[in-house]
Amino acid sequence: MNIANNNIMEKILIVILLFALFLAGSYIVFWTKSTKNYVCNDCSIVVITLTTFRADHLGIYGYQQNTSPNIDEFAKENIQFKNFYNQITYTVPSQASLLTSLYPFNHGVYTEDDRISNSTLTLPQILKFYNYTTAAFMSFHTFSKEIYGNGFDVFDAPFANTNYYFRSNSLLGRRNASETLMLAENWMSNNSNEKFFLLLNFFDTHCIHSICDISEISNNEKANLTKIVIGTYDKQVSYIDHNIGNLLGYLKSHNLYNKTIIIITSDHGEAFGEHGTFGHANEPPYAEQTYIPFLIHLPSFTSKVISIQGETVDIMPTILDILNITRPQELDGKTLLPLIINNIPVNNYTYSEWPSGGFVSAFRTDKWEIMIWNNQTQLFNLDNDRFEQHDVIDSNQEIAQNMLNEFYKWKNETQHKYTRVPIINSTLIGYP
Amino acid sequence: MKLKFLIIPIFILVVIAAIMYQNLSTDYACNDCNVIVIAFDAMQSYHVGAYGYQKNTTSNIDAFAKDAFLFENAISPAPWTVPTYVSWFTSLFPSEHKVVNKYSVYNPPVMVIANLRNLTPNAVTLAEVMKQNGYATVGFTGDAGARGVQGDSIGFDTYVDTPAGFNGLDYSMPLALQWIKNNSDRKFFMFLHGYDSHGQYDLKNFTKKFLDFNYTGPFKGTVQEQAALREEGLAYGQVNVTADDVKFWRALYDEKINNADARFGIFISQLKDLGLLNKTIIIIAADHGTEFYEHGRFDHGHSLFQELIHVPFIIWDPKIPGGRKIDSYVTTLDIMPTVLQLAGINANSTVKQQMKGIGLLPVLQGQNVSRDVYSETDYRLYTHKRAVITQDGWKFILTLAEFPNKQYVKELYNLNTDPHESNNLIDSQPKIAYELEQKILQHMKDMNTSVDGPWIIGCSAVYNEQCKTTSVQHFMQPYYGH
Repeated sequence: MNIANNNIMEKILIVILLFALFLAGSYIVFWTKSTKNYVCNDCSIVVITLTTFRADHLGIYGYQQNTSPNIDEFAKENIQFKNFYNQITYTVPSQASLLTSLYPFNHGVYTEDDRISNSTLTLPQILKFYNYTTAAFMSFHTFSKEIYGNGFDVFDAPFANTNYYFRSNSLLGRRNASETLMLAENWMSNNSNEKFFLLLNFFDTHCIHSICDISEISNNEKANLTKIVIGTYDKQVSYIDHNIGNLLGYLKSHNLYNKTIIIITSDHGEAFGEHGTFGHANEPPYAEQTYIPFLIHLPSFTSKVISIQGETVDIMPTILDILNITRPQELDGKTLLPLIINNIPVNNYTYSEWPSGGFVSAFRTDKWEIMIWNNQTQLFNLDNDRFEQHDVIDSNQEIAQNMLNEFYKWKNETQHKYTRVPIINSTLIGYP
Repeated sequence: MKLKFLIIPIFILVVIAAIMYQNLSTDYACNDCNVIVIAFDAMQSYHVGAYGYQKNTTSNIDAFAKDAFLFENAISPAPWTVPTYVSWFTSLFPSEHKVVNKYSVYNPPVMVIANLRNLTPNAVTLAEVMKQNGYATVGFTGDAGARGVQGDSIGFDTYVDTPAGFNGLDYSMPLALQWIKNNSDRKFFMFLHGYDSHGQYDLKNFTKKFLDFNYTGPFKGTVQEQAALREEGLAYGQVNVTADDVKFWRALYDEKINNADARFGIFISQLKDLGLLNKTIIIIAADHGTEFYEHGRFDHGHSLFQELIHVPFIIWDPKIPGGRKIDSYVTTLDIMPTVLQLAGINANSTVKQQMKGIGLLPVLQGQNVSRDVYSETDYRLYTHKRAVITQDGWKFILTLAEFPNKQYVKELYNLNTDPHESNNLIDSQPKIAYELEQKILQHMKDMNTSVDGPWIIGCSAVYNEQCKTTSVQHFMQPYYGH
């Protein structure tokens, strides 16, 4: 019968097709590793966030002054992101971005009076659903419990009773890295039987240990201004490096290193005159502010150097992905795991902002960066001009225009509309 | 070249070939069968004998189910009629086909009836696909929420939705039989629908045969009273009735269902006499249930509790021996892909990509279902809710906005231990609550909708008398009897 023959022919065809499919499929399986192999459900997490810490004063980011032997060794044994950026040029919103994976314009925490919204889940809150113990040991009082405390069993930051004007320039409300580390190690020694999340902050590269105000430098030494500023800064980098070395030693000697995800990063950098000014916060989002270190120790993975870009909001989803925990839908960041394991680029763009100065946005691909001011746009080639010294927009108009268009589209898609409040159209209500 | 990667495919190949020789789906397809989808509007599965109801209200459906496949946990994509049949016919969620209310624009005097063709022009309906594959396509309905003008009739050669109102199988079933007798030469796809068990169906002769005590309460069982209860529940969030009142209303409901069942019985026996039972795939289901005060209110549309979205769903296929109950959670969105599978129709890629339900043929053959089930409502712009049910019985309901001032309210129930949904576990099960909330947010994203809304609370009418008065008392007093 015709029908029977057709059935057999169909069956043979399908079988051949399936065979070809499985050939292709298993080829892919063998050469592409599954990210699931690198999941560790019960790993602990230690995130070290360093305030006012540039990437390029570390040995593995190219610095020649031997400021960071411990961090360098850690980086060589683990995963280093060579092109990582933060979202904004000062601490308060940057820290909120780390804990919420939201851009500043979405979490809205720009001053110490702002709060993370009740409906936004932070990294520690989510980890607590999964039975993690959570603690934060911070080194400066600006890291207030009111802003960042949600989800932390322990939130320890120094207290200060000074008014804002004097705070940066005083020893009050801050502690040095050794002190903070000691508190953290103490806590870990009581809590490392369970899986834990530890957030650790060192503040020493921020003034007053580094230079707060360049007018402090006497007129005699003005010629060597930058050298003096950097010299003071580098001393603190070494001091922090020394403490990180101690921390890593603690984790290793307490059998925690192999089951802990360890991240070293920064909340912003510091300007040393690259664009004529010093300091941070009141600076446009140039690389001296936004080019930050990101080093990650992933248990059961080897060392790797990654050149494809990432940003601070990616840290939270990456941690959750490694732990095989569902990620919240509304995150702005993306998991970097496919990039780490299989070199699959995750971010078409990274973003930084400076809310003052009429609001300046930096928008980057791996190669190009546009800096968008109120009344002008600059274009920089990141391959050869990391610190944005040569605006090349005139000879690359088309590239700049494309990126500008992409930026507006991206911003429109990414900005939360926050209209979860019902609109009650009372004139149409048919009943009270 | 590493040849070791050939080992796995060759092994799997052999296994697949063996399985396929046993079990190729096309062997079970019935290319020349008719297909009838019968909709018992508003019939709560709790009230059906085959689903465990103690009273003998549905002897014909029960007998039919004995040899068929009965889905114990079928969920409707919406808790009322207007969005649901359009979902049946497109296998799209209401947020996707956008016929979520009777009117797509309700700003009197400007009133535009929602229409699938306008709102989602690219949607292909089940009737269209059947017609393209040589079936005569006919629909016999009780009008109202199944009205053709909103898109339910697309693809049907004949679609009866007159006269206006809430008509039952007593009206539509004889027309269906007549058409079958006059068209015995063609294979057909039929949608047969009746409002018999609906609150707005006027049961002219209420004999009270299922009322087993002397009811002395204020209700008479009129459609006006039922409407008044519905509106009061919407206005105040609850109504106040006694246990006897509830029994009274359920007895009325039982009688309506019993009548519908009798009509179904006639229909099936006529099909048998015509020799069509062995040549026809029959699917029976309800679009939604009815609340009888389980959560403080009456009627339907306003919530996503099980009394509204847990529906009867029974499949008879002459080629596949039935008589089995299946407890996986499925959805009536599965009707369209299942019909195509059972009829042996290979839909084109557009239709395949459109359908969000799954074909249930492998499930009839014993496979498990692993997919989550979703439901939603934007009933009359009074409320906006979304729900997910997982295969292990966890149910999460998200109220995005509800009159008068509810905003982003979350509920979590364990249907295995708490089938009546009286124990909200949202605070005691934070991990599951978190994961299910993310599932709903992902689902909303998949449907191209944003949780940010805006969520408009207003009055979009379904019945003519709505949205005109500003006082509930004024509307209700004449009918409430107090």
